[in-house]
Amino acid sequence: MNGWRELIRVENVVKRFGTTIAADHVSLSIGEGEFFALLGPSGCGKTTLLRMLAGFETPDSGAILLDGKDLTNVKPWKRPVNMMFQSYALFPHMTVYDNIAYGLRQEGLAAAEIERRVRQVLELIGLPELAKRKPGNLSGGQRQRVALARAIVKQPRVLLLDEPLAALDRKLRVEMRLELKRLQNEVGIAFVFVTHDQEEALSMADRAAVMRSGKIMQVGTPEELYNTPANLYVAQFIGEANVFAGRLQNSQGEWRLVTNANAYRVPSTEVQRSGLTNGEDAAVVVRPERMVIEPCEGEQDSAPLNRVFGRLLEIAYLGNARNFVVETDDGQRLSIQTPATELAPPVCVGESVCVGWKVESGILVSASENGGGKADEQA
Amino acid sequence: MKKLVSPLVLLGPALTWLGIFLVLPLALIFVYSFFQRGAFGQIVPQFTLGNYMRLFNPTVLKVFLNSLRIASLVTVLALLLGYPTAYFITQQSARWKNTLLVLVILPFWTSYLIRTYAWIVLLNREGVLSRLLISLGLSREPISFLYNDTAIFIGLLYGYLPFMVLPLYSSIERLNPELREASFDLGATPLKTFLQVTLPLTLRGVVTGAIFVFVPSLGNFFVPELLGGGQRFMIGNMINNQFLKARDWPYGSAMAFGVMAIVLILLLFQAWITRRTEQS
Repeated sequence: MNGWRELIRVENVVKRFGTTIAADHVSLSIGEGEFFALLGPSGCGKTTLLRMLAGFETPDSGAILLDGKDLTNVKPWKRPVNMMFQSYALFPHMTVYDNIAYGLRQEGLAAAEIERRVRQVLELIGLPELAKRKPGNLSGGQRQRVALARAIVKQPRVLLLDEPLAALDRKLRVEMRLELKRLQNEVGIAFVFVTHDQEEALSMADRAAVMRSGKIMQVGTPEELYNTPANLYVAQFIGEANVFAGRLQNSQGEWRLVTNANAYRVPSTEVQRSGLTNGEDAAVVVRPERMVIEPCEGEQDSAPLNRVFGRLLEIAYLGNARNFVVETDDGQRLSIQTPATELAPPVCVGESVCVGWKVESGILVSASENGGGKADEQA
Repeated sequence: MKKLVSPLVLLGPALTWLGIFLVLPLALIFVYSFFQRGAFGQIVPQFTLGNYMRLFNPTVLKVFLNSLRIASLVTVLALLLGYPTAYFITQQSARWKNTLLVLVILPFWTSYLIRTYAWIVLLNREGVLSRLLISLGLSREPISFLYNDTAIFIGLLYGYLPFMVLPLYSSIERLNPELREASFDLGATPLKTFLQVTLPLTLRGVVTGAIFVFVPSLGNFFVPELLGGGQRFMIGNMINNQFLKARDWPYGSAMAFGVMAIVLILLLFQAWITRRTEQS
């Protein structure tokens, strides 16, 4: 993030609906021109946070600043912020042209200027020939583009997108990810989007905030979230994770995670990063693609590998990769993925196998899902 | 696709009922409207257009126009009272919505005629309103609020307001709330949002409600009879008189068809609006 400059600041925002808490002391910074994701399961408060940015909800306490100016109590129609709704919310009684011109007409711009900007944005989304259609006569993808055009034509400081791709079918969804990226680059507006789909967040966002029960669990780039999750929750929510839970122990300068059945070596860099100390409950997370699987051939002692034994339950060929499901001797299921470009490991379903990973591939996190001092730290 | 039940079986009972009790009498009245009245009030089957020509006599026209005026005013007032009411109900929680809707239709549990008598009790010289004003010291004499156009307005508005609220409620309720938010988001104030988004998209409810209020108001005869005290005439009273007092059934029939023509034009207008909003 070169030349990152703060655009939006969310300060200690709290929002309750009856007994449920939708935002629990949320603080956040979003930069100018940044593509930012609010990621979390449904009910985690991400949509409420977006709606507070739009002005449809008011925080119970805390503040929302844009360019240093307090927006907290500014009405939605006075905010330099526009939103693309999940339902798109196109006005059914107006043509595409009138839908896009609607926001500009509220500003009282001259008709010629409105015309010029509407045409320009129709070009940008690649639908100049649909200006006279009504929303009812558009496909889902076209409707989505029109909704986007209607919001960006106002040239807001921030564009909010509520589950922008949720209503599209899978193929279109993947295409639109790139399309949204391209558009965002072209218009240079900060995009803040809400999604429950971690793949979507990772593939589009410059940075993402992972939310749970109204709290922000971690903010970071997709790589940071995937490779250095702040806690077990983030580790499990982002991507697939094999989790080994136990207690952290230091014996003779070497760190180990001691579980019921085993002890695994832990890199000391991870101990430093996580801030965990001797004797604490902790977990080691290993990504499926970081694991190797091989037949058990007696005693092995390749030094840098942590090992665990089990039985192979399933092999799935995915085209670009192979997926293995292994049940360990103490009943835990592991998922292992190897690239399909490599030779298939000589293992058969039902046989005993040996699963291993390089010590430095293990990610150490606090065992409590919320834990870890890094959870509240902002970028 | 093969139909499991023939449409005739499904619609048969209703069609028979309507045929016997609606279409047949109407056809009869239609035929009568071209006949002549005999010296003793009997119907003489001799073709004439005279009954329809007599609709254009100034006295009759005046009653027609006055009725149209009263019905229009009742409709406008019902809309002005009904829209905010319906809007308010849609904004409540599901439980309150149902309670409020029950309250809206609660008056239907008693006959409209009886409720109109209740208004006499409220409005007459010895009535509740009159006594209230005296006891508050606002008036020294008992006042009768009956037997004028205002009393008729009150009676009609009271009776037909629910017919305005219900279709409005359903069309506002169906409106995606994100549309209103989108309008705010794009810079429109609440007033502009109402005029540019909410109102145009609930126009069907407005037109339906207006017709539900206008049509029965126009034809109502017992409210002007009871609250207007026979001083103020509406078309309904005039038709009623032709049948029961003047015993000129052919003329009454022609009047009835005159009213139906007005209503028909309104229904065509409604169909046009509906088609226009459904296209979007």
